[in-house]
Amino acid sequence: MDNADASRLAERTRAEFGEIDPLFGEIDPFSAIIRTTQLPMVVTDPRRHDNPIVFANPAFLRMTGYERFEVTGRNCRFLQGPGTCPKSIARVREAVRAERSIEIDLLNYRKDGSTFYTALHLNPVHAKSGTLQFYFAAQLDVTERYRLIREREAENEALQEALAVKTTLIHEIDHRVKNNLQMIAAMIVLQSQRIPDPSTRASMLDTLQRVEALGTVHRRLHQSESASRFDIADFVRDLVADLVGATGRSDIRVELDLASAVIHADKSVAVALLLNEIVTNILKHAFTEGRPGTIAVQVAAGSEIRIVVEDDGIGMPEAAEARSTFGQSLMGTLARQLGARLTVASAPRKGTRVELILSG
Amino acid sequence: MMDQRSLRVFLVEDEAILLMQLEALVTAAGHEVVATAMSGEEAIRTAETLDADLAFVDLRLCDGETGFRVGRCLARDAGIPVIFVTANDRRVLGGAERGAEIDGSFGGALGVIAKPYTLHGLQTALAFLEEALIAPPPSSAPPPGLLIAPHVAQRWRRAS
Ligand SMILES: Nc1ncnc2c1ncn2[C@@H]1O[C@H](COP(=O)(O)OP(=O)(O)OP(=O)(O)O)[C@@H](O)[C@H]1O
Ligand SMILES: [Mg+2]
Repeated sequence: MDNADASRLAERTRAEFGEIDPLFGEIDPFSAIIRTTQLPMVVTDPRRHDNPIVFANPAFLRMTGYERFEVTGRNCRFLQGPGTCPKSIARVREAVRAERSIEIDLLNYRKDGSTFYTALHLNPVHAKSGTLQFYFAAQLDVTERYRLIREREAENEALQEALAVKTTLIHEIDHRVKNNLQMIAAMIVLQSQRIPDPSTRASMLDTLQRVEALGTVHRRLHQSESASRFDIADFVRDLVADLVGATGRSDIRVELDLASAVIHADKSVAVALLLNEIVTNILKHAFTEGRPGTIAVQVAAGSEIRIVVEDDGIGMPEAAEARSTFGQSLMGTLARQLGARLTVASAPRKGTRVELILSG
Repeated sequence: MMDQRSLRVFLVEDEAILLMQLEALVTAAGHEVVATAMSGEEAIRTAETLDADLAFVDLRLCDGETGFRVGRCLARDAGIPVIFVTANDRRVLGGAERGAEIDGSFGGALGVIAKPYTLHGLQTALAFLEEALIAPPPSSAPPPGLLIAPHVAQRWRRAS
């Protein structure tokens, strides 16, 4: 509202209300508005000692619970109490001293001692000559806003606590899963050491490798932030290094071409066991009688995940596919569980190529 | 620094079957298990008079501070290199989680082996440690299953 608007409005108000203002002693066009507004307001006079209130509107009296005679002539600080932030008080004081306007939230006290939050808008009013005449303060009760904030904070705190309990629980369970897998593996190792028959012992070690593959899955899963994402590439790296390393052979080369391929935890165990069967088969069957060779693993992720494991070993014997071994049926059933396509191509002396295609 | 071929190893593990496996593995690799402890208290008591070149300490998340205390006791007070064996390596490596007890310095430990480890993973870790402790610096990088504290790894890199 510019000056022209203001005086036009003043003209109209004067015509309609035509009142004598008790404070200013002359006709004040805005007096009626100030008196009827719901917005609490006070005017203080800095030219008098201790900057006392010289006018308070009814809304202010309603908000604070005081009578007019109880507030007039007093400095506004009587509204403050022990809970009022001293830093905020200091800021208001500094604004008054510097004759600057300020907007600040304060905790104030009613006459009955109850508290409320107020959004104080304090403005110095200067005369045309530039000398300070009044301070005008509008105060909005914002207690409800603070109550909502506190409520939200309490809710957040409760949620944080519940989350912390859950996190601890997940860590505890994760810890147990890993420790139990470790113990199963240890039992197999310890028991197999006492078995004299080499083929029985070899079977035990096959089982050990399957259990260890499970262990690697869980180790990898819980290293991820959410414990629900599983990167096939990371697993292949761990698995191949461990299995090839465990053979103690230095004449087996490894070629890895691994793109990150993240699958959901649901599928991780089946994928891991399948890969374990494929790679252990190579190490058991492809490079016999000191035949050196290369294992190549390729993981590519697009709309579907394609895993190719290839060796240049002796290749599968013609009859192999007809035989019903545990490894064979495990691989078939795992592929079925995954809804994956598993194809094996092999020719004698040309090596074996196993391809696994997972829909994303 | 050590005029010997094999390591004297101290094992701290509260799970019977895992302790047995560790003992068998360390012995099979030609080292000597000089003492074992199945609780933090027992470990700290044993540490006072212990003469060992290496300690494997199971870090349990559940009973809180014990594993870390044992680690500090062995590494800082007794000067024995410690390898934490833990099912919660993120806790040890810190950063990822708030409230991590151990920062990047591994709580004074030389390294960390994450559970579940594989038989071969543990064997290669032990073989690496044998070389690293008896004839440092080690000639190769630590195996994948063994995480070496960054400041130690750096020292080895500089020395080699
Ligand atoms: N990469 C390979 N190279 C050569 N032969 C292989 C290869 N993979 C499998 N075979 C042949 O296929 C046969 C069947 O493999 P399969 O995994 O089903 O059984 P297995 O490995 O003999 O026993 P297990 O039940 O312990 O896995 C093997 O016995 C082997 O002759
Ligand atoms: Mg097989």
